[in-house]
Amino acid sequence: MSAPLLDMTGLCVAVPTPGGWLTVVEDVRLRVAAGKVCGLIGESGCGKTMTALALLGMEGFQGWRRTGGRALFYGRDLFAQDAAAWRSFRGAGAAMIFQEPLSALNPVLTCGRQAAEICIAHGLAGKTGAKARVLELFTQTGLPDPDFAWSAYPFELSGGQRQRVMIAMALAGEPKLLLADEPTTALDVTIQAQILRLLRQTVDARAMGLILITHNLGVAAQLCDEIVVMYAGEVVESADVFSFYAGPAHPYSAGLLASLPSRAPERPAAGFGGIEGTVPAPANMPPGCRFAPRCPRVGEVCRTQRPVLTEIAPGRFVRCFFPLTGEAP
Amino acid sequence: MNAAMLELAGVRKAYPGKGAPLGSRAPERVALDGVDLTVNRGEIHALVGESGSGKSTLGRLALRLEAPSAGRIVFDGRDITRASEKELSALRPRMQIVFQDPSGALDPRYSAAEALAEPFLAPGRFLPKNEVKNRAVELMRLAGLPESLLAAYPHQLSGGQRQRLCIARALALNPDFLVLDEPVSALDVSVAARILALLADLRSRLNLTYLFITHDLSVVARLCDTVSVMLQGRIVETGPAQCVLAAPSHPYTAGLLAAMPVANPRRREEMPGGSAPGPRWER
Repeated sequence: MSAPLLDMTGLCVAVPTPGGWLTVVEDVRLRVAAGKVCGLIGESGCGKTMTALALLGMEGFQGWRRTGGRALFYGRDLFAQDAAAWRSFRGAGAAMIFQEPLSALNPVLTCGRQAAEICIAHGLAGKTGAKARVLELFTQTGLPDPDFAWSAYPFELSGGQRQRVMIAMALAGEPKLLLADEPTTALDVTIQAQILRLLRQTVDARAMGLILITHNLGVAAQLCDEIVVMYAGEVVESADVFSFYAGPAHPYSAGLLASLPSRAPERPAAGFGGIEGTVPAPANMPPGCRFAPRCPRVGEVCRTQRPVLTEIAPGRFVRCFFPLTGEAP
Repeated sequence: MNAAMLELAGVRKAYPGKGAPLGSRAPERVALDGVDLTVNRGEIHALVGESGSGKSTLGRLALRLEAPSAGRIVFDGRDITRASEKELSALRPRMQIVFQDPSGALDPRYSAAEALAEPFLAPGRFLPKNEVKNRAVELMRLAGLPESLLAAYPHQLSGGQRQRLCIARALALNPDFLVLDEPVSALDVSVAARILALLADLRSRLNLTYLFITHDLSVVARLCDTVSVMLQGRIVETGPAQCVLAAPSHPYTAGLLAAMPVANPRRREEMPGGSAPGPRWER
């Protein structure tokens, strides 16, 4: 594996509550290499999106704050930079693709103007050269009629086309790292397949890093090189994609995989999988392992002690006292 | 007893067009065009298709929440195509719907107990207070919710619990036909799996018939007996779920199946998506 583009360790994020600051994301470790896709997997509220927003220095706008961590981007610590450095980092260092392009795009500006703004802001084009550059980006992201998209308002485009505009805008500042937050969740499956293909081509062609935030393990299997699973604000497992799908080590990962309906059910129709119970509330975390109340492999130690993220095989980390070992899910 | 719970024959639904220049008429927008569909008693019939294919319109017509422009709708042997509101209100308890987004379907000002009691407030369905309370407890148990949540408001419930509450409410009047409009699409996978298990269990315990609207073919494989595939307001393929999924006869069904991401990184080469921009099916 090449040297990582991004090496983040120990990220902690806290949100304000009436009772004081409450830590909701704890000790998150994330490594992304150039030309690789890292899948950040987890269910609603596990801290995936906050992790991404923290990487863009967005906490000041959101009311929460980062309380710890270090993120080396080309050897430079992002979390040590000042506001001006963050400004130029966003867009030119890393850029984000949001889930719902209709609400992420400005409805009163044409798609062309919004994209041109980014090229101009990062000094990559003057006012006159911006249009040519945007049309080139629109062509690269596979918009069927770039000239139409240039003068179209977001509502005039289909969902898939809007997402292509979003991707073009994310690429406008020539970033080295893309963060895609559920980029295909709002799309139909056939369009989803096209967008996934486009993301993969983009990452390969530009040797960028991509952090794909998703709850869809099918999508992650298609696109990712590395998988990082989060649960209740913590990373519980991180592994390369092939060993992860061959046999997840954390019982939560195994539960997620077992919840997937398979197209041709090899498993008998009797079992639907799923995980009993609900994610604990941040204010009410169990004292030991956070997954212990729902875990089928729970032991005495799990209820009292917190497991740490341990390397059980080269490049494979798991936060569990009783990890599964390679057996099929 | 009739074998078919619901029959649609040649159903067409068109909405008036918009945005025509003054003095001319905009072409009407056809949502459903010549749909024939039979949902047999006791089966889970999946209705699959992409956004805008007409799945939800068909669901609303099946419950006669809207009237068709042409064609015939028969519910349990009775022609309800032109049934009056009065005739329909007698049938309403037997046909219910569960929506995709439980947060939008529940009144934020109603506790779970109040939401479950509301069906019994209608004239003719009145029950004494203590019986309503008992029924609410029974419904909570049926939907796998702890009784302690009766006093909870929707914002205090998790997404999965909210959807269970919607299901419980839909069952309040002992229906025999449910339209499930993307009931698990808004839920996390581990929660969705539990809800699907609940729906399968309720079907066999209460002899229910479902029209299951979904865009997710993997759900169909897990749960459904029959599947109808919709494209541009038409049904292009109908058959037993396992047969259709194993050997789709319509190219659109095959395209949908091929586009489904498979949770196996070793099979990613099979992923289509083609050269961008790929063809949008309905264009």
